[in-house]
Order: sequence, then C-alpha cells, then structure tokens
Amino acid sequence: MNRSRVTGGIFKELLQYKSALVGLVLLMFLLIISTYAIFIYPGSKAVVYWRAGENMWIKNPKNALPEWWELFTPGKTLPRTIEINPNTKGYAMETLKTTNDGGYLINLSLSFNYEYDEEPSAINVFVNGTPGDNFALFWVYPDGRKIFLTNLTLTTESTNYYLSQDIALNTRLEMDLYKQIGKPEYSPTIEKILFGTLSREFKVQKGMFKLLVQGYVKDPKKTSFDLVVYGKVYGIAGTDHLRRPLEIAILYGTPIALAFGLTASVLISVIELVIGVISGYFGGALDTIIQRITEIYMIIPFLNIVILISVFYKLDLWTLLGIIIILSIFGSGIKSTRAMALQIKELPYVEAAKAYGASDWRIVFIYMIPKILPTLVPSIVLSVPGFVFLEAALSLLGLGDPLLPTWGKVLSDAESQGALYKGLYYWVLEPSFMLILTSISFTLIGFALDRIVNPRLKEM
Amino acid sequence: MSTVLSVKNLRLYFTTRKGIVKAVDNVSFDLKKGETLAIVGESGCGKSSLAKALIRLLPRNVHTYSGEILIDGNDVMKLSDEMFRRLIRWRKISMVFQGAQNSLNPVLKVGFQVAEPLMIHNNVSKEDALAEAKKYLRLVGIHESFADRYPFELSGGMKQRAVIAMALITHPEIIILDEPTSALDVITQANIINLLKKIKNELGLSYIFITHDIAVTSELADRVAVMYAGEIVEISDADEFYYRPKHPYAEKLMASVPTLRTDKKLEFIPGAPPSLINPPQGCRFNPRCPYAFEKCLKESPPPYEIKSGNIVRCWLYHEGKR
Repeated sequence: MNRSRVTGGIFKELLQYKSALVGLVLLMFLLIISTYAIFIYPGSKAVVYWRAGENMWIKNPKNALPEWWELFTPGKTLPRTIEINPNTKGYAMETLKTTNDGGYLINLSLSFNYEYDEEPSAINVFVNGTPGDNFALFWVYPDGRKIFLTNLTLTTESTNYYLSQDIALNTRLEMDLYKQIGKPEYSPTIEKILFGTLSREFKVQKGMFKLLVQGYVKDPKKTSFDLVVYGKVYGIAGTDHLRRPLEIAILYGTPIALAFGLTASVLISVIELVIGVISGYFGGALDTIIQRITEIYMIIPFLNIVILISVFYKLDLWTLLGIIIILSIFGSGIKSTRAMALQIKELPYVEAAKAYGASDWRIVFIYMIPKILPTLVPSIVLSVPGFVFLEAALSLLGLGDPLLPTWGKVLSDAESQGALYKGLYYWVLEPSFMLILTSISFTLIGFALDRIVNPRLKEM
Repeated sequence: MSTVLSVKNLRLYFTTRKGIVKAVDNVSFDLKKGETLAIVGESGCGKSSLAKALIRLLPRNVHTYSGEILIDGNDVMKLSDEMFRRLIRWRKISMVFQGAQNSLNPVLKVGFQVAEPLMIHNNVSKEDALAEAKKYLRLVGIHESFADRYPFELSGGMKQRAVIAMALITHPEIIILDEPTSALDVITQANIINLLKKIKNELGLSYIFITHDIAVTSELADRVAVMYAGEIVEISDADEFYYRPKHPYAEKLMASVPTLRTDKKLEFIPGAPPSLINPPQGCRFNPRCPYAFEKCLKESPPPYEIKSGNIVRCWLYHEGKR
C-alpha cells in the first residue's frame, strides 16, 4: 500500500505541486473572505441589508464604480460621496432674529471642500423642520459666484429635495450659462454646471463650495439640513441600481457559494458511493434495481427539471440544494463505484472479514467505502465549481433563492439592468471574478489530487 | 482425548458454466482436542474449498452443500447462516487465510483490525478490544506499538503474525490454517511454525493445517490427511505417514519432496490432477497410478481402515496386495 492512502500523506504530497499550492492559497483566500463575511454580517444581517429598500441606502450613490476603478483613470481622482449635516464639519447655523409671530429667521451654511476631477453623480438635500417653514437655497462657488437654487416650503416635518432632478432649475441654469458663455462643448447637467468653471470646456472648479440657506422657521431646534453630494465611486465593490453596496453580495455570496458547492458535491459523491458499493456488494436483484434506476436517472434532463421545480415553487437555497442532491444521487458515479466495489469485494481481506463474522453493513462501511473514498476525492473537489456555477446560473435565470444575496443574484440584477450596455462592467466582472476564482481554486487542487491518487496520470 | 470436530460425508459442489465442480466430495474425518490435522494435496484438489466448507464461507454458485459437521457433538450444518455467523465463526472455528499479506484491510490500523472479531462477536467496547488486541499482538511476538501502524508498514512475517493474532483473539477451539506460510521465506516460515506450536500448547487449540508443502507439515502435524480430486484418500498418524505413506498418491507425493544435498532423483507424478467436473471412473487416481489394475478403473475404493483412525482408500489394501 502506498503512502497516499493516509490523509496526512496526501496533504504533504499535495504541497509539492505548485498548482495545488496556488489552488490552496486561493481557497484559503475564499475561506478568509467567508469567515470575514459571516463575522461582519452575523445571522440574517446580510439579508436585512440586501432587502432593506431605498431608505437604508439613500445616502449611497446609484451604480457607483468601485474605488479601485481609479486605476483605470490615471491622474484623475473620482468623486467620493460627501455628506454635510449637523454632525459634520462645515455645518453652521445662526439664528438671526425673532419675528413678530414667534418664528425665527435663520442663516445656514453647509460648506465642503471639493478636490475631485469629475463632477458628482447627483446632489440631494434632506430637510427637517416644522410644516410651514420656508427656505431659500443658494449655491456658492469657490470663486465666489452665487446662484439662487430654489425656494422650499415644508408641508411635513421632513422633505427630500432632489436637486439633480429639478427640471426647472436645470432649465434656468442652462439658460444662464448660454447667456454668459454661449453654447458649451459639454451637455450641461445640473452637476456639471454647479461644479464646473465658467468656461465652454468642462472643468471641475476645485475648492470650497457652499450651500447657503436663508429661512423662516418656527423652531430652529427642529431645523436641520443634510446635503449629500453623491460620488461616482463607492467602497471596494461599488453599488447597484438600488444604491446597495455590492460588497454585501460579493462577500456574503462567498460562504454561500462554498457551502452550496461543497455540500452538494460531497453529499452527492458520498451518497453515490454508498449506493454504488451496496449495489456492487450485495449484487443480485438489488444490484439490478439500482442499476436500472441509475440508468433512468441518467437520461432525465437534470437542469430542465430543476428549472421546472424552481419555477413552480419559489425555493430557498437549501431546499434547492436538497432537490439538486435528490436529482443527482443516482448519477454516473454509481456506475464507477459499483465497478470498484465488484473488484474489492473479491479481495482476500473482505473474504477474511466475512469469515470472522463481520456483518454485510460492517463490510460495506468499514471495509469497502474507506477503500474507495480516496479515489473519489479528486472528483469531489473537481465537481464543486460545477455546483457553484449551477447555483449562479439558476439565480441568473431568476430561479435562485429569493432572499439571500448571492453572486448569481448580482449577475441577474446586472443583466436585467443592462449593466454591460451602460458600461457598468464592474457589476458583471466582480461576481464573475469570484466565480472564476472559486472554480480555479478547486480545479487546481482537484487536478493535483487526481495525480496523487491516480498515480498513473503522473507519467502522462 | 475428546473429539472437537467431526466431519461426516461433507460435500461441496459448485455450479459453473462447464458443469458441476465436485470440489469436496464425501469427506469425513475427526479432529481431536489439541491435535493438528494436516491436509495436504496438490493445487486444485479441494483443500481450500474444504476449509471454506468448514467455516461456511461459500461463494454464490454453490450447487450442493451437505453432510454433517459436528462441533462438540452439535451438528452446525443445521444452523441458519446468521446463527452460524454468530455462534460458530470465530467463537468455535477461526481461520488464518491464504496470503496473509492480503487478508489485512489496508485502510485499518493493525490493532483495530486484530480487535475487529472481538468487537463484532463479544460486544466489547473499542478501548477494551484494542487493549486485548495489543495483548494478543504481544503473544504472537509483535510489539504493541505496531497496533497503531497500517498493514503496509509491516513485513510479511509480521502481517502473518497479526493475522494469527486475529484468529486467536476470540478464543476459538479450532483454527484452520490455510497455507499460513506459503508466501514467506524459509526463516520466517520456521518462526511462524514455532509460534504456532507454542500457541497451540499454551492455549490448547486444535489446528487444521492446510498446505501443499509436506515438509512444513512434518514440523507441526499429528495426523496427515491426503486429499486428491476432492476426496480424502488417506488419513494417517504423522509418524507413520512420514515413515511410510500408504496410498500410492501419498507415496509419490513424499517422493517429490526435495532433500538437501542428497543425490536423490526427484520424482513427479505423470499427468495432471483430474478435472473435478468429470472425475475419472473408479478410483480417481487410476490414470496416474503405477499400480492400477482392472478394479481400480471400475469401482471407487471405499475407505480401508488400517488401524483405528488410519484410513486409506485404495484397492491394493482391500485386495490384500499390500
């Protein structure tokens, strides 16, 4: 018997293959990500975040690129999101005087330093106050120019002013621009006008910008402004169309993908092994029945049935896993393990075991399965990516788990939002990259294991 | 001395595509307590089938399995397979298999493997069984530390010893040794034979020693049974047998044993062992027998009792020609 029968031996030998080493490092990386993800999103927190809706992420930019995208725009710093509120720097409010009817006149200034090379993606102002409060909003450029933006009257205690979507403002600003410099060479959006220099070519004016607010309020203590200047990049993974940070799905998708792939692959292989060995060892009618069932299973179109079931019953991930396992346990693996079992059951030590009274089940589980198991390890490892891909494919088709954030889900969103068409490559690349990483990791390890366990391959 | 095993008219036939193989045909013998019965014969004469019939380790294609096997006076042929497995195998009879190198499970540690029968039969906890296994490994001369090794880490002789320990661990009365030394070198063979002798005396066992090697048998056997074509043609006391074998086949067999550095012409038996599907008419040895006469061609010789327990199946004795 050679050393590779012993688990420790296999592992030591594995480290001698550079490819396996790379695979193990990648796997380690994925495992670290998984642990980290489970640690920062304990319990169902990831699901809560992912399903939180617009309000949770309102202060994130939409479809923002990941921050590392700057590597592809050398010399340019892309704007980050800036938020000015009573708890940050640059927020100053003064109460000017009391009016006859008990209200107050206030002066508010929200100032921030803007040093990026591109205009922000959007600007929103969130206002809190008392119904009936009146405000006038002004924009002050670093060069001192001052533009009137709009008048606001509160009808409820809080109002969101979506500055970027104010069409009246847009038209007015555009007209003013035309009057001052003629037709600009860029298409003047609100952000470009509010952050550009007064020239025909667009160039960001860097320096201290200010949002000035003059208002009449009933209770200055209740009055607060929150200015959000949305950037174009966000975090390590960017955001999607619902402003959700993609890192949630990318990170949390890792343990899900690994768990799904490994569970499916290990369970299916082991169940196939057990059934195959039982079939081979007991023989006779049982063997015939198992083999015929296997042949029938093998011609059933697996993916079609999985899709059919997923369409009819909106399944959560683990039920889906169960169904995939049930649909796969009578797979081709049974054929090969049965062939090996037929060989092993004739070996002297199995006969010896029968002689000293080992029961059939003892022989199956202590004598035959441990003998075949090592030869199955490579195929178990190699089939992990297949199941990871399957889950992603089902999610892409909209048949995955309805709640959990997974890589396939991100791809599905990207596809339905036309990410590639809009040039939002990161949206597709990130989950794809993780999928490919998983695949490469298991494949490299699997190939090396295959060489160790089936030594004949070494010479080829 | 009391009889521990008594076999009467044991038959084991197999069905094959070519016909029925009469591997064990009408075999009877007794085994006394503390005795070693050697069963010798050429390859393919049914020795191993006899062993398998005794321990009821039958392949699928059994055609006939009949006769009586009395262990301590009880006919174990009447037991169901399950009862036989529980009450007889390894409780009463255990076996050391041909090719010990292969009778150890490569994925189990030696200690665990030796303890297996104990765990299966006596419901002993794993720890106790392992402790007992170590005791028996010591008894057969293997250091305890080897209990934690895998079979491939042991030499051939050590594996053989481990297999013997495995056969001993449940305190059986009878041990069937099926070619226990055939794959070992001479020195190791001698060691194992001495070990077997020692153990037999210490534990009061009875051996059925199956081998094709008559020389090895002479060290251990109290009585010798010669098998030919599925039948036992001679049973003699060992001293008697080695001094003067009775059956012509046994004679030839003895003459074919090499001796060291003496100028003896090694004899061989012309012809091949007969087919067990279609054994020759009359005495099965007649085509190869130099003394064969007419009667041998027609009728199968019944057992002839030379003296109590010593039997030969040959017309020469019936007809008074010897």
